[in-house]
Order: sequence, then C-alpha cells, then structure tokens
Amino acid sequence: MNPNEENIWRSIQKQDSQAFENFYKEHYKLFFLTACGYLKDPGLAQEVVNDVFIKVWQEAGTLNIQSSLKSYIYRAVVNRSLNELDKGKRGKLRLGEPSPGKEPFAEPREMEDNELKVRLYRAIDDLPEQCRKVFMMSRFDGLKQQEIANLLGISIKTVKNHITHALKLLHKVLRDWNSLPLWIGVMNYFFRR
Amino acid sequence: MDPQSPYNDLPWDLIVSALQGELSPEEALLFQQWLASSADNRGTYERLQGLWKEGMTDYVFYRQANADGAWKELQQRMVGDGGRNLQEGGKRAEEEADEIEARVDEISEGAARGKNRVLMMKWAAVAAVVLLLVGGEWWYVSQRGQQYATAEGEVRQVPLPDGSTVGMSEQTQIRVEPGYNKTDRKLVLISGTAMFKVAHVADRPFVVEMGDVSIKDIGTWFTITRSADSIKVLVWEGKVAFVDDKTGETRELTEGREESFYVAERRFGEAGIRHYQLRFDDQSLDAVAAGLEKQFGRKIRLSDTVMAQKRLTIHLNGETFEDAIKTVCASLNLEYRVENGVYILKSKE
Repeated sequence: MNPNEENIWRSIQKQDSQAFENFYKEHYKLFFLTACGYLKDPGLAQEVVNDVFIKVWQEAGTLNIQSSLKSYIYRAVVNRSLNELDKGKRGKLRLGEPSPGKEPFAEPREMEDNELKVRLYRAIDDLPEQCRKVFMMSRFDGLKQQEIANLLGISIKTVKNHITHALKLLHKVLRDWNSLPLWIGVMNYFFRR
Repeated sequence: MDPQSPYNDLPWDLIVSALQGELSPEEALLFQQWLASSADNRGTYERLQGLWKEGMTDYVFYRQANADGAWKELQQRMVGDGGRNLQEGGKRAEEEADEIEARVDEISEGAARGKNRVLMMKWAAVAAVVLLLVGGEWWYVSQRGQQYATAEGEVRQVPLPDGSTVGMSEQTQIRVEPGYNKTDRKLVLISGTAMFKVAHVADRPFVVEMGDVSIKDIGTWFTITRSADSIKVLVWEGKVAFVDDKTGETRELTEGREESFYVAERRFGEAGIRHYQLRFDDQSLDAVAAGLEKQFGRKIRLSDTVMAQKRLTIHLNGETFEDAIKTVCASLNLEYRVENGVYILKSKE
C-alpha cells in the first residue's frame, strides 16, 4: 500500500467518514463500471458497490489488507458481482464472500483496463458539447456523416473535424496510459512491503 | 512524434471514414495504400479501431454512474440498518400490544369481528382506489400515446416498432400516437426539429401531424422544423406529400426540396431547393423539362413537339423552380403560363 492510501486506510479504520466519502467518490465510477461489466444492470451494480463499501466500513477495524485498498475493493466488487450472477443461476447457493484476512481474487490487468476506460470516458465527457454530440451520434447511434450533418445543420467536413478531434484526444489518453506501467512499477518497487 | 501536436500527419479524413465504414472506392484505395506503407500506420489504425469498437462499449454504463446519488443511497442504507434495529425494538412493543389486544378480543369476540369488518372494508376501499389509479393511468397512457422530449443540447434517436427512426434535435417534442403500426403510423411533431427515416410499409401510411398541416410519407427520409410561425420540411431522399389539412392543398416534395408553411397566414411559401446542381449540356428541351419535373416535382407541358426538340445548355445551382423556368424560357425565347399547377411553355408570338 503506498503512503497516501495507507493514510486514507488508517483514517477509515478510525471511522473517519469524510475520508471514507472522499475515497468512495473518487473511485466510485471505476467500481461501478466493473460491476456493470459483469451484471449489465446499473441498479444492481450500484447495490453491489455499496454492499462492498458498507462491509469495508463496518469491518475496517478487523480487515487486514495486504495489497492496495483500491485493489482490495476492486476485487471484492468483482467477487460480489460474480456472486450475484451465481445467485441468478443457482438460486440461493452462494460462493464464499470476501471476508477479513481472505483477499478476493481478480486479474490485476482487468482493473487496469477498467481504469483506462474511466479515463477515456472522462475525456469524452470533457469534449466540447457539439464535438461530444457528433461523436456520440456517430459511435453510439450509428448515424452516417451526412445524417449527422443534416440533423445538426453543419457540414460533413465539420462532422469529420469533430470526430477527428475526439479520436486524437482519446488516442492521446491511450498513449499516456501506455507509458504509465513503467512508473507504476517503479512506485510499487519503492513502496512494497 | 511531437506530443504537443500529435498525429497531425495522419490522414484523419480517411481514418474517420474507415472507422465509420464510409470510404468511397477511391478513398478505400488511398487508405489501403497508407496502411500498406508502414507497420506504424497499421499499428496506429489498429489502436484507433480498438478504441472505436471495444473501448467504447461500456460508455453507456459510465454515463449512468452517479457517485453523489450512490453515496446518498449508501448513507440511507447505513441509517436504515440502524433504523431496522429500532424497528426491531418497535416490533417487540407491537407484539406485546397484540397479545394484550388478543386477550381483550377473547373477552369480546363480537367487538373483534366488528373491528375486522371495518378493517376489511378499509382494505377494500384502498384496493378500489389503487385499481382506479392503475386503470386510470393505463387509460391515460393509451389515450395520449408515447411522448418524447429532448432538452437543450440533447439529441436523441427514437426507434419505432416498424423499423423507422426519428432523430430528435435539441428542444424537440414528439408524440407517437396510440396504436402506431397497427392500422396506421401517426406521429405528432409538437415542436422543434426532427429527422424521420421511414421504413416503407405499403398498407400503413406514415403521417406526421402538426396542427393544421401534415406530412404524408411515401417511404423516405426527411426533416421537419416546427416553430410557432412556420413549419419547414426538407426532403433528403424519396418523396413526401405536404398537406394543408383544412383546404386539402397538397405540395409534393421530392429529394433535395424544401418548403415552408406559414401558420398565421395559412399559406405555403415559395419552394426552395437545397444541395442540388443540374447541368444540361446541349440537351433537348424535352430532356430538360423531364429533368426539372423530376427535381422539383412539378408538371411541365410543352405546347408542341417541334419545340420539344430545341436544344439548350443551362447550369442550375440551387435556383427555385420559377427561376429555372425563366432561365429556360430566356434561353429559347419562350414564355410560360400556369394552368391548374401545370407550367405550359410555348414560343413567344
């Protein structure tokens, strides 16, 4: 656990609700997206994330987290989502839930992929309004360039410019992200326990 | 690559069209040449393709993530847990009260039966009100149809059960009428701008109503803008009938043509043309007239067959039908008159 996370975790263990809320809000989208990836149900995904956080809050005093807090919660969300899926398939028979001293399992790569997605989606949300609108219509509504131009009253050239702008930005996010693992490795080396 | 101005050397026009599957044959050839020219190019395109396809799949979920709302829900649940404990205490008190009540009931069964009857009547009344509300809501929905609205800056695609779609621009309201796609296909454009892509169904006409006027579609793609003063229709593909429902006056609009109806004056405006270019190089008048009829959806009649073989060269670029006819007449020293909506051309005497 790096020093910053360790401070947060100590505060949460002392039942500092502000530290808990800050951590929750900072990472909520990552955990929510992860749960959605399994459940395809935003309502249930929110419930799963909150189940995990309530459990962490209630059992903070006895939880022994070896890795990072974020990874622990991430993996708890994955397992809790799998349990939900399993519940759907096999009624009330449940797999073991994450419990103190037993860290749930999930691929580290999977968390990185989801973190990248959060960054990409945040970048889309930060696009200028018209640019985001064109990008959404093109990628998610499957509209042709001419159709978008007609609907928004702009030229095809402008439509292309907006999509180009969005793609350039997303590609930059991707490129920056790909240069991160080296730094993450160095940080982990220095802060390993 | 310069990080401050990344990728400016890439053929973005081609890349964007390739991702959308909209490359023309010439563009496809150029794009293939660009891909073949280096492994870097192929790598870049693969990354962009990955971003475009797999990278975006969960964005719809991301948009529904509401950290503040979820946090409130979490707080409520935590308070709820405490509340449940209190409720448990309260439940014990209720049970004790029930026991006392049961003893009293044993003493006075008749009174208890009376009490039960009152309770049953109360529940029956509640059930009746619920049924009335549910039934009323069903009736209300079935009578009013399904309504859609977009906010400022919002654009929305509404798929319809027959395969047609409505693209709603910002601040637009439409209503899909009850029974859509059963006997007919009716919608109401209440306000704003909407683009309709209509699936052709022979026995079920597609009609967009806008108060005094309506659009009857014949399988096409068109945009309507409705404001307080006017209703403007622009046809992108196919053909529609723009009808004044009170007088029955009808304008047939073909591809590329737009026309407005002015609500306060109850009249159609002058038809206009968008995005068209017509070139007639050394063509017979007969061929030119046929081209104009096709373009504008108007009828042209030539007064004699000799005149029909006269040849002319004209280039039209967005002119109205009236102006196009005047240009033709000036080129061949003709004049025209209009009878029952038909333009009749004849030699000047």
